[in-house]
Amino acid sequence: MTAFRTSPRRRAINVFMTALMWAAAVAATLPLVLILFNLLAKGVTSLDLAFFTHLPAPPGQEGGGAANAIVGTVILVGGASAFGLPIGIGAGIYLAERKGAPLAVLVRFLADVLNGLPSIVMGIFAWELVVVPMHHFSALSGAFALGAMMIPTVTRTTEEMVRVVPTTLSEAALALGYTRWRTALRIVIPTALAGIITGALVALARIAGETAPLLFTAFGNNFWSLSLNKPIAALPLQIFNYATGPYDDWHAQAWAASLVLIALVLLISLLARFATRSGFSRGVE
Amino acid sequence: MASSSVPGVVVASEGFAAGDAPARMEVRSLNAYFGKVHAVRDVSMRIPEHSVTAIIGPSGCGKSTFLRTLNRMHETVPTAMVSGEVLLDGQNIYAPGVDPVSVRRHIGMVFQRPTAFPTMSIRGNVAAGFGVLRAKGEKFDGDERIEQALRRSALWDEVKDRLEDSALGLSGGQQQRLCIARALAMDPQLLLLDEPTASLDPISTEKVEDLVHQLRREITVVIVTHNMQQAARVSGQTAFFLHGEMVELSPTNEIFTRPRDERTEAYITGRFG
Repeated sequence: MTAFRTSPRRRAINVFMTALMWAAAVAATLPLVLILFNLLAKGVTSLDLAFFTHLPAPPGQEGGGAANAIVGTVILVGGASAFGLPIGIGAGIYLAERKGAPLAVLVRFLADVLNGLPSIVMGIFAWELVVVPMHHFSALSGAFALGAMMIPTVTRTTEEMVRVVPTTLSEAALALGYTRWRTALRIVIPTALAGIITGALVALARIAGETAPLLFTAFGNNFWSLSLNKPIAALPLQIFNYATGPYDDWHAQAWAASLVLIALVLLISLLARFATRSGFSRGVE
Repeated sequence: MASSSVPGVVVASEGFAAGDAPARMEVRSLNAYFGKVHAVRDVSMRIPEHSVTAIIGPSGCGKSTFLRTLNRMHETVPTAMVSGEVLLDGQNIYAPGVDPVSVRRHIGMVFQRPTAFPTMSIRGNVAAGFGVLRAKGEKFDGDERIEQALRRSALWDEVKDRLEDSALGLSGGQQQRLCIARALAMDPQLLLLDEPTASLDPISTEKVEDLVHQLRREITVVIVTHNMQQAARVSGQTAFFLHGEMVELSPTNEIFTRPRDERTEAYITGRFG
């Protein structure tokens, strides 16, 4: 029955194309694997308990750690979330509820533009708006720059997640005598919550590694500081300063800081993955 | 015109005379639009208390739109408009100053697909409307009301041991009865069912139909259906819609045996639609 046999030419094309796809898939993941491998190889050797507990050592002196930078990054990301998340989530819900309103169309467009804005520009913006009036660098200005960077991503993912909620659910709520506002608050948002949290975590992971917006806002600090009003250390800044410095042990510290930063970002991404899985199985289908 | 009857249709046995019972709802010259599309044209209808009114007709005939004008859900869609009067127990729900949200509180609605709220438990779903009632200052025993609603929707025995479980664990048919329970828990003056069995299997469909038949003793029901047999089984009066117009409104046993309009006859004998 020759009619049911694939022609040799077609089979050859099939094999070739499959191989091509495999090659593309490997090429796409290879950089990540190489980076992780390299980081592990170079970072682990200089990573010790002191890295997590000590302040940076003065130049020329051995040892020291990046405790202030780790805590600084956590403070910066926390501060950024404190105002970036509510604004972003609020705007996203607004966009989903008022799809075609002129203001919604404008906000959506601006969010997309803002999303593509180079992060260094966001740094200048925060510098002009916060650092200049305050007359000094501060954690506050760094958190402001990072928070502003979160807003467009969070806005758009929230909008998408809220839109995925079937309109039949909001109709059912309206038919029960819910107001629009109550419907959004009690039915739509809880149903979309897992997706909204995922979007927020992805945005967190993205800004945690940002360096440019912090260069002339948070500025970095070699000493211990928890104050929002003073310059503060951050892992990306520490990496930047150490990697460009003249000392070998600084370079080693930079590798270690990179490893910690990547681990932090991976952890947040994993959390996001987990939130999606556990949420969506009982949420939107 | 030969008198016709639909094969396989068993007409609800008890006789029904429109005009016996007082009207729960009175629709007067109702028109509904989507933008420039005139979806419902000049419909007037009397819906007696403790009765089931079926609305049949081919897809796109305006029957669902008509149903949605009865609890002011139609206007939640952009560009939708309504003219005419709908009197619920003598009160025009389209009168100026009437709050559509509070109208919907008094009229229950169940949709084509089950709309159990996914983030809520079974109990939470039935109680979903209570917040609105309590905000209005009503006082009542929630648990008792939940049990009563679930019993009336014939779901109590199936869910009484897992009230705290997610409503999504229920089958499609159970979810639909849960939605009916949710509506009943609000103690509605009128219950609107928009093709409630369209997405259900035959056994679940039968359960929902039995339920509608039961409910007729206690409340007033309007049911939109694609299925003429269903209309015949559950309703006392049936309206036939075509191209946005109400062609005929007759007692169900008459419309399926002696339709007055030849378009009705053509539809119920399966010549179109």
